[in-house]
Amino acid sequence: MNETFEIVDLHARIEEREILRGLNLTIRKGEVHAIMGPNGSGKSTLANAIMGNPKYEVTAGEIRLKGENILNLPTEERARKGLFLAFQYPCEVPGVRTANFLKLACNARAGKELDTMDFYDKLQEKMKVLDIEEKFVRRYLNEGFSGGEKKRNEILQMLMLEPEFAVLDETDSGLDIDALKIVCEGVNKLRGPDIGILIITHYERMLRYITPDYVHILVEGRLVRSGGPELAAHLEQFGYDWITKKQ
Amino acid sequence: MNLDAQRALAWQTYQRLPLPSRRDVEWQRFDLRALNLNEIEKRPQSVRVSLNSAPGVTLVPLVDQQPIGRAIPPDEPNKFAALASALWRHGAFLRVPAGHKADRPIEITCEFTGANAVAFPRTLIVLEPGAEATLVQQFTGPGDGVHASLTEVFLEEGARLHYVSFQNLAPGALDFTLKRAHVARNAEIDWVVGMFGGSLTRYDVQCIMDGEGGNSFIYGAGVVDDRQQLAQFTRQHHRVGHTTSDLLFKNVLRDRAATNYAGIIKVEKNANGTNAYQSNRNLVLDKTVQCDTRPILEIESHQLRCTHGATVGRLDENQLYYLRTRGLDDTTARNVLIEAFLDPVLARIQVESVRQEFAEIIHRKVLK
Repeated sequence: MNETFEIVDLHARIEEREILRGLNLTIRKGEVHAIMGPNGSGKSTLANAIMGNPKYEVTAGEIRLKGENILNLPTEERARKGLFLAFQYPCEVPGVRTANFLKLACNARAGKELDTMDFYDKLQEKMKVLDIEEKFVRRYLNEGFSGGEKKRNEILQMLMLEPEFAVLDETDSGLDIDALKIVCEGVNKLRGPDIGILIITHYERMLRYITPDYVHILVEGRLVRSGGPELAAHLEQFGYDWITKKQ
Repeated sequence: MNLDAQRALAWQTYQRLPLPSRRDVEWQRFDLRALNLNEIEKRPQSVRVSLNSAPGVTLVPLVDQQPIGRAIPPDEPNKFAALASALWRHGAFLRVPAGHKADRPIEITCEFTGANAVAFPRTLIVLEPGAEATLVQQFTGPGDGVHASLTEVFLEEGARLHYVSFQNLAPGALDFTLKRAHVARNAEIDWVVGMFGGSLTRYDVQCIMDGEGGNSFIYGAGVVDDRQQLAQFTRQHHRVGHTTSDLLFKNVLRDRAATNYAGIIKVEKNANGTNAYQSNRNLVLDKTVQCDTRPILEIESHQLRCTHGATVGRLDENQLYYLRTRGLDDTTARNVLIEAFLDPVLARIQVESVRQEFAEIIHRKVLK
């Protein structure tokens, strides 16, 4: 079985602006990749194109999940097939209680109505991992949450949904150091042979707690350089100028 | 005034008042052509009132108990209220004695039956000083024709009432309802109103703050579809200061439905230290609906806090996308967001089974 997530020659735009200009990347299960890029390089566009945000238009290329091109699938189908996106700015949804929403999402992912007791047992366990209080999941989804709480909630959803491939879009932004550590521990708990992870980030600091197998640098909609974790350290030292000047 | 005199005066009032026209701001765009009032006094009244009491309270059919007609007088300048005052035959009277706390929810169900029928269910509620109760009142049934109901509420000093009332009449019903609560010193009404049924529904919900320290919380939910027309009128009248009223009406509209909300906050001179809040929020699911909202302030006091707001909006595309990224299909995501919109109203209902019933009615109307 083809256990990969492939992005092939991806071109995407928002409104009339072309942002991604031929991006190629293959992630195998068990691997953690990091894409680093300066502002405006196309990081968020990539995350949105992968998940099928209707505001973004893919103009060429393919995204293949285990060999199947998913570009024509609606967002929810991609999610059910095991793709997950942790948002940079998770949406607030007043009126929907977090636990109820998680139950609906887990049912959708499983394709059947899950046993309520089993669901809550699992939820308790994952909340412990992320140091989340009981009352948190009774609150309305992300409403009035601090930046750190929102990011923790994204990772909680990821742990509950057990995706096969997960994209973390700037999960480190807005997190203080304690929250960052907890979130990274949560990701590390999930890391393993059954999941491929893509971390999209501007800064290197998240990669201090989650050591990636591969680091790629995104500039103007293309991956311009790939390497191991040392590439991230190098970038932290010399800044993006080092790479953009080389272009 | 005895009941016969009340009926006679009410009938005169009914005959004197003109039918509302579409030129009246509160009725604009509403089509009253389906309304037939010919020889209405001769038509059979078909309403069945069921009562489910709690120990220590009086809950009996309404006859002429006092103070009937004191909150809604027979010469109330409202054609349909006058009609109901003149002709009503069935109703309920609830009295909770001083200091008594009813230990379980009290239920009044008014069932409208029959074809081309009329019904004028009337309710009188009195909570004596310090009394506490939860009342669930339902207007339901398959009847079609004219339905006009009156509810008078008196909360005496320090009384507390949780009052959940909902209307789920059949599509052939034309419903005209007036509910008015008097809230005395340190008394509190915690009120939830559901408006779901009828082809043409007019709901008047009013509180009158008569004593310092009184509180009114009024939460309404309307869900209309097909060609339903719902006109809502609310009035928060602060006769004295150091009183609070907090009102939120939320509506969901789909298909070719129409709503028209008008709400008045009236604060009298010297009613200083009043807190009055009013909000009307509308969620529009189709472009073919009509939605009007109009807040009105009549304020003569200078020391008060008062806010009002109204919105008409659609489902949020970002929220829909977010839910879909978690595997919820488009229909489920939409339904979740519609129910979420109404959740702040439903969350006010303290009786779990009634909250469930509300949720199920909403579910049935939304899931199509």
